[in-house]
Amino acid sequence: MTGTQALGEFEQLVLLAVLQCGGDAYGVPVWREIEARTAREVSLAAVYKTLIRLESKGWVASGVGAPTPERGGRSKRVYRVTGLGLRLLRASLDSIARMTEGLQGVLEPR
Amino acid sequence: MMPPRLAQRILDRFLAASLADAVIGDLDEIFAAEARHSPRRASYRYWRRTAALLWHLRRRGRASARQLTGDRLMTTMLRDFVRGSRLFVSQPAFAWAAVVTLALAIGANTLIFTIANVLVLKPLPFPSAEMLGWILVTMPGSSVGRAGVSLPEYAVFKAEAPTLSSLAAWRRQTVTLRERNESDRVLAQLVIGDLQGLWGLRALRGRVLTLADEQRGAPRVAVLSHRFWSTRLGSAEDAVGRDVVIDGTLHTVVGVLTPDIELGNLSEIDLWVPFSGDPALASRAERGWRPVGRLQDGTSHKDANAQVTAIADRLEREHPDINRDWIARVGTTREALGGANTWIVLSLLAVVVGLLLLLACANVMNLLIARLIGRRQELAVRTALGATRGQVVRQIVSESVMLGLAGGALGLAVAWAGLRGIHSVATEPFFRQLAFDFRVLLFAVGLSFVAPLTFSILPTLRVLRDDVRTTLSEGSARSVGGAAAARGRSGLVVLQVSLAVTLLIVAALVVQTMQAEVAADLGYDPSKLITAQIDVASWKVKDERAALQLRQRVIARVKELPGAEGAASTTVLPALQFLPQMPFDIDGRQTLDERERPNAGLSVVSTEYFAVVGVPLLAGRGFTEYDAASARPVAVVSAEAARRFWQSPTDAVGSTIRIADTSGPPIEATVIGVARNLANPVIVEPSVPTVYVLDEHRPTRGIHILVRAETPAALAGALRAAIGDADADLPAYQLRTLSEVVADENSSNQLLSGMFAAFAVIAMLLATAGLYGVMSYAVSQRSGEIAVRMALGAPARAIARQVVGHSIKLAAIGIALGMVCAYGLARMIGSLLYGVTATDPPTYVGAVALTIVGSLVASWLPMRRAAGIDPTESLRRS
Repeated sequence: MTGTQALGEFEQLVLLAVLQCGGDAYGVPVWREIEARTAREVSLAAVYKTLIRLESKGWVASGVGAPTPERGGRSKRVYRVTGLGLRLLRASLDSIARMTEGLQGVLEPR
Repeated sequence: MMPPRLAQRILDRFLAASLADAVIGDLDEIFAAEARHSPRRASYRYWRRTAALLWHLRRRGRASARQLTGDRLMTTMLRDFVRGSRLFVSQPAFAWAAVVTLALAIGANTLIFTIANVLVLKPLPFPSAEMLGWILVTMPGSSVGRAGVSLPEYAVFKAEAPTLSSLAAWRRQTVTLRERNESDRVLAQLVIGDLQGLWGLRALRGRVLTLADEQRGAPRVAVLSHRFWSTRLGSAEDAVGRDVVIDGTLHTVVGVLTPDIELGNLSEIDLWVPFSGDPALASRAERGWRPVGRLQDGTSHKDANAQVTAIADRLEREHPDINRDWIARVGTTREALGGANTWIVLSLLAVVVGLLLLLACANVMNLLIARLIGRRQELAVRTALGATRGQVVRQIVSESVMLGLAGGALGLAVAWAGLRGIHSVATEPFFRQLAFDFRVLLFAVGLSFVAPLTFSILPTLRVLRDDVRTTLSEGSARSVGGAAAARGRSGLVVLQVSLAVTLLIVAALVVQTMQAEVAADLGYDPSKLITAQIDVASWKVKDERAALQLRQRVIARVKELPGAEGAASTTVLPALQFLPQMPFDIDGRQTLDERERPNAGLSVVSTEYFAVVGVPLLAGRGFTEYDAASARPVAVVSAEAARRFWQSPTDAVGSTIRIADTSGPPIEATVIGVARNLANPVIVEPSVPTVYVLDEHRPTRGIHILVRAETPAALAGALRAAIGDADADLPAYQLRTLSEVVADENSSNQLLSGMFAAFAVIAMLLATAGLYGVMSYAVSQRSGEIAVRMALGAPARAIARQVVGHSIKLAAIGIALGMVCAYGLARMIGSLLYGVTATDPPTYVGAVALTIVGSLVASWLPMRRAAGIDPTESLRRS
């Protein structure tokens, strides 16, 4: 059943970023994580759009997090990766890993 | 530094509720971090992110909107409506300023429309109104108003003016009506000819009057007005056939008219009776008869007019003593129903309120443009999100219409309050007839739609011209709405100032005219006098001697009233009523040319008249008991008569005059004194020469009793009782203090002055508010420039001067334009002005001064703000 459900590249990044953020994965840190680690400009809108899509597929789940002063007292929407999401991510990364086997010479920067 | 609240609100509105809080919180958090480096950049990025977020996440919103189907048009309209009314919550100051402005203007227009409604639009009560020709008689140059013709003249017109067929005539007469032992003074319409048939009147009960009722020997009949029938007879079913006694003669009620003719002064009539041939009303001096006829087929009012004026010219040559200066012409039904100056005043009022509406629209347009400039980024975002320009325009228009409707609703309340005010001060029946009907409502609703469409055009065009991308990338709200916008708004302000100046000058001229009429000196102090009218009817007391004794008995009784300081009688209320004109000869000189013959108004008074009214005698002496007892008539003449017909007051005293009394034998009297002139408050011309003779020497029937008292109003009840005691069958009517009479006389003038003044004040306030808006916006826009100048050492005074100078420059252009417009308008109404000229310098100077003060006030706050700018603070911000 999951055979056709492949992760897109940006979906992978968002899932990984959520994992990186640990327990405090809401919009801002997720977006920062991606911008910082990939060194590319990503829009907050794209992050949210992806999170919403992932949530609709059941790969992430969200809950309401505590507000902070710099947010003007507004609550956060905190995301975590579901079991299903984690499995898919693993499968996806596995296939990448298998595909890259033996290509270290080509792919590694010299 | 705060994140842009507008963006937050937009997100709040367009994102799913579950997401909005989190997203806005995230944006705020990022903003807080970025604002530490550059607040401007942070703000700009906030907006860009907002735009992007809306773009990516908007689908949800669209889907839910689509579910709102049903009647799509209704849904859209409802949404526009809701969105428009949110304005009152989100920007109450703006919304209320606009609504109040519109309400004042729409209210003023609606009020004037109620007047026009009655005068112009209401269908005339006569079925054959177009075919009627009315002979209107006026005396140009005096404000006597309309008079009529005498019966002999009527006969001439009837015989010699074939263009007016079945010529009929009527006059008003107060009569004593006794019905079931209750007697009262009522207003009768005496009719000659088939008037009711000519007018096409219909009977609700019974029948109307016909020519047969006029025949000699026909039974005496009367027709009641609907109002009289319903209020006095309680709509009695058996009213037709009842007997009533009118002035001592038995009449039978034969009909009740339909209520639809009770329009204008026709609504005052209690009953209609055919003229019985009373010789007192048939003399040449009784010019109370109003003729009206049907235009012969194929003839116009012009043809009839030519015929009538030719006859009138001839009559003037034949009888210059009575017809001098009277002009007769043929008018239409509408002219006949309105007063002489009604049309000029009405058009002037219409112009004034029209300008007021224009001014209000300009003001609201200014507010809208200022607001739109502030909203550019929001609009740009919405356009970026896929809102078509049409949708954006629709929002502006729907908001404008909301403002218009709210303004219209409040405006109706304003007009209603104005109408209540008019009803409470007006005494003329015309004003009492003003009322709201569906046409007035329709007019107000129409204005509520037309006004917003007018003032939203310019802002809408601006939005259509705007390039979204430049707006978004400009990033800052400060630099937008550049030179072109500022010029547009300045142009509006110039327009407003010029409109206000125009209104101010014209209104001031009209108010001065009306006040000059009001303030015209009466020649005596009316505040200590009370009056009542009695008629000793000839059907009751046949003998003149007995009638005189009855009148004297009444006055003697009244004089004894506690609080009364004196009582007198007169046939004409001093300076308040029109005097019957009588020619006379002096010392037996017969003037050959009738036109040269002395002519004066005749007032028949009792001996104490001058003392009671308080008119000083300038030469000779007043009347005494001895004069009254003597059989030799004596006369007192007014200073104007002495000036015109003798060389000096002292010359007048001692000479003998022979008055050609039109209602009796000539009176030969010795002039014993000269009294000071009286002046009528609304007759605006040199005082009328007057001759006073004694009651004893000139038989008369109807008199006004004048009582002097410290508090005249307190005497009213006792006065009525005293007259009743003297004779039970002598109803006193028109019982009022003289101050009331004067106020009634002036009430229309006061009312119209008040309206003009109020409109001018509103115009000035609106123009000042408009100027203030533009000035404060200009200052806020230029705060950066001002800060730089101050940092470079410009003193605060120089900055203030610059701001005020800008404001004065705009005002000056407006003032110049306004003065030109006002002059043009004043020239057009030149004939209406009295006591002031169309170029009256003080009026123009005053209006200009007031406008300059207004513009100084308008620039005061902005100037203070500009001078108070802290350069470092301001520069850091920008």
